[in-house]
Amino acid sequence: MPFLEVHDLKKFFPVQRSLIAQLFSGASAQNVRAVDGVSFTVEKGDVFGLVGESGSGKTTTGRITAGLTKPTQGHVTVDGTEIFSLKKTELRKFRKRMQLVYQDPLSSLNPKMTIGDAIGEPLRYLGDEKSSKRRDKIIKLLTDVGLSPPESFYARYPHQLSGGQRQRVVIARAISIGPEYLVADEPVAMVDVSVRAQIMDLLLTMQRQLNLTILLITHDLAVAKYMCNKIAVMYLGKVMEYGKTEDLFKNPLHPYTQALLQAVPIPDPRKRSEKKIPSGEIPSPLNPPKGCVFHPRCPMVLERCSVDVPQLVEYESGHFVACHLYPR
Amino acid sequence: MKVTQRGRIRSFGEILQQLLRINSLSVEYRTGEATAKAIQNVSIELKRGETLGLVGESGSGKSTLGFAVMGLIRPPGYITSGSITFDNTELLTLRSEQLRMIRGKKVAMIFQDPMTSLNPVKKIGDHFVEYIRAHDSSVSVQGARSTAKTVLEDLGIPNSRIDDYPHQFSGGMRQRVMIGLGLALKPSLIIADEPTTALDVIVEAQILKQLAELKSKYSLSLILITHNMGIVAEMADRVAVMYAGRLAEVASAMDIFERPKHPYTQALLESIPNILTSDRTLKTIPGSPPDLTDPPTGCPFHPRCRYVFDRCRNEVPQPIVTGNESEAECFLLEGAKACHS
Repeated sequence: MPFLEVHDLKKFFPVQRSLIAQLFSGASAQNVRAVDGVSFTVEKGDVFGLVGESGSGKTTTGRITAGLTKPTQGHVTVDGTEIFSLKKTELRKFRKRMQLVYQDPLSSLNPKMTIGDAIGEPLRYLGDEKSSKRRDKIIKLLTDVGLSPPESFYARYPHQLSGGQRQRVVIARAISIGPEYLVADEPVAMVDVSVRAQIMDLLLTMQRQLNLTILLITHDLAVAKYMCNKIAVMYLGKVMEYGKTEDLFKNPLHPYTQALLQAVPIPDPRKRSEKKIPSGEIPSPLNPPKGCVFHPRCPMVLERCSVDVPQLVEYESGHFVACHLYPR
Repeated sequence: MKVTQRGRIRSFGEILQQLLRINSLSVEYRTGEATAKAIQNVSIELKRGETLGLVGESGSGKSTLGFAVMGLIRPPGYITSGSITFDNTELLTLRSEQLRMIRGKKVAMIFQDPMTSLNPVKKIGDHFVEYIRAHDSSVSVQGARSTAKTVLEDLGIPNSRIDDYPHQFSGGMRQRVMIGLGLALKPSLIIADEPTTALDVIVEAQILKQLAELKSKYSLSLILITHNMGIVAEMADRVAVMYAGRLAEVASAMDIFERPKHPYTQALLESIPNILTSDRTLKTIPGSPPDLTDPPTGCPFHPRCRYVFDRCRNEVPQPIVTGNESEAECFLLEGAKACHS
C-alpha cells in the first residue's frame, strides 16, 4: 500500500467580484482552477518531487496533502487514512505525522521568539515530553540539524542567524514531533547559492535517519534531480508526467517536460547549444485552454489535442504521461 | 606601450578595444551603527562586444558594481576610491549633467523586477516617450513612439500593444519592455541585473536567447549580473566571480568552468547540481557568506576555505595574474605568478 495516495484532486478558488462587476458582465462566478484532477502515489521513504512553473498548482497540491487546505474534490490518503474524512480533533492529532518547511525561513519564524522556543512550540502543543525534558530535546534537535554549539543558538533570535541557519531551525522545528511525512516547499530557493547544498544534504540526511517521506516542491529541476527518487511534472493544475527520476531525465516523454529540460541553463560552457524553446507563457488558470492545457504552446500538437483531455497513462513501467502522442 | 598598475603591458590596440575599465574601486554603505564594505579594491575591464558575467551571492557586491558604473551610488553609499573609465571618459569626476549624457544614452541598466520599475498608471508607449525625451527633448512624441515600436517588435511584442498598461502584460512581457527601454537610446553597454530571476525557466530561456540576438543586432557590450552559474555558462565570454565585495577571480568562461583557480570558484561549482550529470553527491561549502559590516580578517573566504593556512587569516590576498586576461585573489596562486608575469 502506498504511503500517500492522491486521487483526482481538484481545488478551485472562487474569484471574488464586486456586485457592480457582476451586474455589468452578467457572468456567473469564475474559478481559478489551481489543481485540476491530480493523481499520484508516493511510497514510504520516497523523496517525491513536484516540479512546475509558478501557477502550476504544485504548492496548493502540497498544502492539500498536508491537510492544510481542503480540496474541492478528490481524495488524499496518508498511510491508509483518508485525511479529509477525519473529524477536526482527529485531523489535529493526525497532523503530528505531517509537517511543512516553507521557502522563506525568516517569515516562517516569529521574530520575537527565541530559536529554542520556536523549535519547542510544536512540542508544547503536540509533543509527549514533559516540559522539563523539552529543553534537552531541543538541544538535541539543534545538534542534529548542525547548529552548534546548540546552547548558544537556543537563546538567539531569528535576525541574528544567517539564511541557511534559519532554514536549519525551520527543519529542526518540522522534525521535532517526529513526523513521518514532510512537505518541503522550495526549501532552498531563498538560501544563498553556496549554502544550498548544505540544506539539501541536511534534508536528505534527516530523511534517511528518520525514514521520512518527503514531498519536495520546487521549480528547479536540478534541485529535484539531486534530491528526489520520483518526480511529477505539473503544468496549469495538472500532472503532465511522472516517474522515477532517472527515467524522467533520460527519457522525458511529454513535450512540456522536454521543453523544461531544454530550457534549464547548464553550468558548462561546452554544452552551449541552440535551444528549441516553446513560445508564449503559462496561460491563466482562470480560463485554461480546452483539451490538453499545453496544446497552444506544444511543438508536437495534434488535432485532437485541442479537443480531448489526455489521461495519465502508464506508458512504461512506473512512468506515467498525459499526452496523446502516447496512446494507451 | 603603457604599463598598468598591475604591471601588465597593454598595446594601443588593446586600449582601443577597451570599452569600460574599473580600477581599484571601493564602495561603502555607511549607516549610523556600522559601515559595510560593499566593494573593495575591484578592477575589471570590458572589451567592446564582450559579455561579462558578473556572478556572486547576495551581498557579494555585484549589483553595487553595476550601480557604480551607472553613477547611481547615493548616500548612504559612497565611492571611497578608484576610477571608472568608459570609452576613455572618467565617469567618477563628471558633473551630473555630463553624466546624464552617458547614463541611458551610452550605458543602460536593466533591473530585476519589472513590476516595480514600470509605472502602473502609465501606458507602455508613454514609458518610452518619457525616457527618450528626457534624454533628448528634440525628439518628437511621434518619433519616440516609432522607436518604441521598432524596439518592441525586435522583442516580439506586437505594435498593437503599445497603448496597454503594465498590468495587462505577463511577467515575461514586462521584462521584455524593460529590455526595450534599455535599448531605446541605442547604448553601447547594457548592464542587466538579474534580468530573468523573477521568471519561470522557459520564459527565462526565451529572454536570454533574445538578449543574445539583440546584443549582436545592436552591437552591444553586456554585463550580466546573476547568481546563476548556468546562465553565466550559457551567455558569458568572460566571468568575474565576486565574494564579499572582492573580485575573487576573473577569467574566460571556459577557464572559470574547466580550470577554476580560486578555491571559492572551485567550491561553488562543486556545490551546484547539474541536470546533465548523474553523480548523486555534491560537495557542500561549510558556513555562510560573511556579514559585510564585520568581515573576517585576511581573505574573506578563509573561514570556509578548504585550503586555508595561517597567512590567509591575517593578510588580504592581492590579485595575481593567472593567465591571459585572468586574475585571482589567492595566496595559493603565488607560485604560478612567476610563470605568467
